[in-house]
Amino acid sequence: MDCVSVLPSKPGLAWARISPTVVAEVLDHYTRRSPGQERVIGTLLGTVRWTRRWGGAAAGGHAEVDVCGSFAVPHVEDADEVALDVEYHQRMLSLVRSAGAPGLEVVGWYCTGWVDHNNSAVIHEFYAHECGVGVDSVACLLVEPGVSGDAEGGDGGTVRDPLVGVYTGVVSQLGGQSMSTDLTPVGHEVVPSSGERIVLDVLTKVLGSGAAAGEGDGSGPGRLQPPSALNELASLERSLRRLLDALDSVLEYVGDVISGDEIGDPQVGRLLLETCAAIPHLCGEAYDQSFQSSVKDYLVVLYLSKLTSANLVLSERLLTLGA
Amino acid sequence: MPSLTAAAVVAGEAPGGYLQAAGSGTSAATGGAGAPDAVGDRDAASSHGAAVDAAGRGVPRPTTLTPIGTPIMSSSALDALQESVPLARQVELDALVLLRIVGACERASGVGAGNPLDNAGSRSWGSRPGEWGAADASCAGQLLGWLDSDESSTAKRPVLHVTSAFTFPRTATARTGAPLGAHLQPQQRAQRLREASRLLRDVNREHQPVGWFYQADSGQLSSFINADWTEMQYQYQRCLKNAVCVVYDPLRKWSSATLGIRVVRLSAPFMQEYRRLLEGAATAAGGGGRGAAAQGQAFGRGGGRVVAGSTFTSEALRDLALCSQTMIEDVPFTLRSSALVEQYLAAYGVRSTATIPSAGRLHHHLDDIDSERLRLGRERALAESTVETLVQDMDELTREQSRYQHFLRSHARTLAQQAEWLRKRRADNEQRIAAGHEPLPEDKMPPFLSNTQEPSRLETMMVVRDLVECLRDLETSVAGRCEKEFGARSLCQ
Repeated sequence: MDCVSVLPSKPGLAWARISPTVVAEVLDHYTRRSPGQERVIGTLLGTVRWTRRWGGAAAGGHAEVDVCGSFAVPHVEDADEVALDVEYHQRMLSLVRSAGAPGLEVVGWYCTGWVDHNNSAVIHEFYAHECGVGVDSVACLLVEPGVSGDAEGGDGGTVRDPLVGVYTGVVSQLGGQSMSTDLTPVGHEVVPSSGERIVLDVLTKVLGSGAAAGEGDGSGPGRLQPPSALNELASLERSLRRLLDALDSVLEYVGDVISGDEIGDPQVGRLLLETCAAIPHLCGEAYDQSFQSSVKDYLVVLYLSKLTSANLVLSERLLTLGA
Repeated sequence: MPSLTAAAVVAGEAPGGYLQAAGSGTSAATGGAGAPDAVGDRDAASSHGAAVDAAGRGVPRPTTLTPIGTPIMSSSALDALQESVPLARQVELDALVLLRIVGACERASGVGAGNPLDNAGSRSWGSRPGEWGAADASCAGQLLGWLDSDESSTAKRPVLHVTSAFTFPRTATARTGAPLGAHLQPQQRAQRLREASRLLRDVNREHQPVGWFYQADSGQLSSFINADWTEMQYQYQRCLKNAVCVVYDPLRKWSSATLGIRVVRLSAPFMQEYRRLLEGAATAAGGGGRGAAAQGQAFGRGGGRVVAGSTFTSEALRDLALCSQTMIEDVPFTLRSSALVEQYLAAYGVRSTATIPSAGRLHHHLDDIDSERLRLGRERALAESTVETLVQDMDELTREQSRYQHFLRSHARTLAQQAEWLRKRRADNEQRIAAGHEPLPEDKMPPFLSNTQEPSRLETMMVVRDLVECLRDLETSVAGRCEKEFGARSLCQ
């Protein structure tokens, strides 16, 4: 008897870039789920880019997905069947589209808890149908909301993200007929955009200081200071300190290599060389001059702005009917 | 789905009131429930529906909606409702709200979104500030949340929680023009807002509007006060006593890589005066003409007569102690997040500063905001563009001021003429009394003498306040820049 091998076709989705906003939203949805619901499901929004970067022989190349947003969709699930509120999904989608966000489209769905269940395949197929692409181009984001043991002791060891996984569908074919859809993992990374980076930094600082029960910098737990000169100075200081730390570790490494304690990595060496070459030759007369002129420029702007604000206040007081 | 049918039923039975003007919605919340739930709303709706109808404005179907998506109520009913709602002194922002706002604003302006590895491997943080032509692409959206006025809470004062945000709908041709989607039919927009709130309710989120967010003008540091903004904020505060606006300034991330978030609202005296302005405009439009003489006269300083009915006059400003500084007020805010999100953030923070063992000790992830902060090149462009727009604003201010000075001159002249006329009239009356006739009244002046109407100071106030904000931030960023320069210099020596 012929053994016909069951060939899963190559996944069309090769890489997924997820914004941390989406993960936060999923976790938030999980927090708000109805009692009795074990997992939550929703739609992922984002953009898809088709590239041939991975040298695919498959027609159409491979897809990369940028996930920027999401919304929750109510669903009902039990052991045998799952029902997703399709109308809700359509209405929400039309709302999102009308909000004018450029180019956001449905790229997949998210869930929490677990993925290897029949129901997940059903939902995956539904979303594939929604997007109009094959099952293998639709992303499924799995967020595990529990705290796993590794995460707590993870600051010195290997770095891995225990909370987020991305899957895509794989159709197993038997002699030209598709048999089943399974979900296989896909490489992913969580990448914040520039603004989000700042928000995350602020959040970790502010929330962390809240947990530490009030530090002495004048802000109560969780407070956010309005920008002022002192804050700018403080944040500048923090950046400089980190730079110095980095420089220290580089020097340490170089010292070790020189003294033979460590075998030098040629890649690192190349990086160092490039960095040193990239530093512009800053010392000398020309630099002093440019420095002076730019500082003067800024001082002029500072002076003028102070003058203007004083004048504004005066003008408002003086230029009234009573005067 | 059970919740869908419930929503349909509610929408059918008490249409005017199911998504309460959040005056009553928040009072339902203050009635003790933490997060509002469908049952509470429905009860409040059925009891309030009758009140609304009795107030005379009678909302037959939810097509009469305010621009922010709450049903229209009559003024008096609204006032009565708002009396009962305490004024929130503090705002608690959810971390998710911040992320959403920043994400939405970034996507709207198309700057620096997502992929840092786009340009052939070099990291790009988006185009330079001077190259943004997108001053019209500012994005705005609705904030949802609830009001906690529970006196026994630790804060001991009413706290406004903001838990969700989504962007306003706008039409497809929305690239230029009013960025707040005002060109969309107000009814349609209100409908969409209601729809969005309803959908969010189905997934157990708070659905009552508590305010809106706005992305500040991207040509100038922290400049957001303009006529559109004031109008919008007024509408919000009219319907919701505690409506706040979260202003996000995208330029701060270029200048110093900090987060530019402020929570502002209009002060009460300003609201009063603005209300007079709007109502005055409404009646003037209805009554035709200036209506100036018919509205009675008020005395200005120095005994002259300035027509009442013009708003934002110096006298009104003095009475209400209103000036550009007290126009808007900053509401102190804190950040909070749920435990899961905090855990995730902590894990993320740990991961981004951890070293990857495979590359040795060198992989400090300095490729983040700290290193961006230390970059020297950005602020020149920022300072230049800010100063340019400042100059334009100054021109506008000068125009306003010259207009006002013109008024002052003509007012002085009119005062002199009035005094002259009065003197003549008195002299005439003396004569007539001497001759035995009735004295002529001294009150009725010929119309050409009594039409001095002080121009509204509203524009001036807004421009001044905006400028003050901008200047303050400019000073801060420029000072930071100087410090950076000095630091760089000392590194080289």
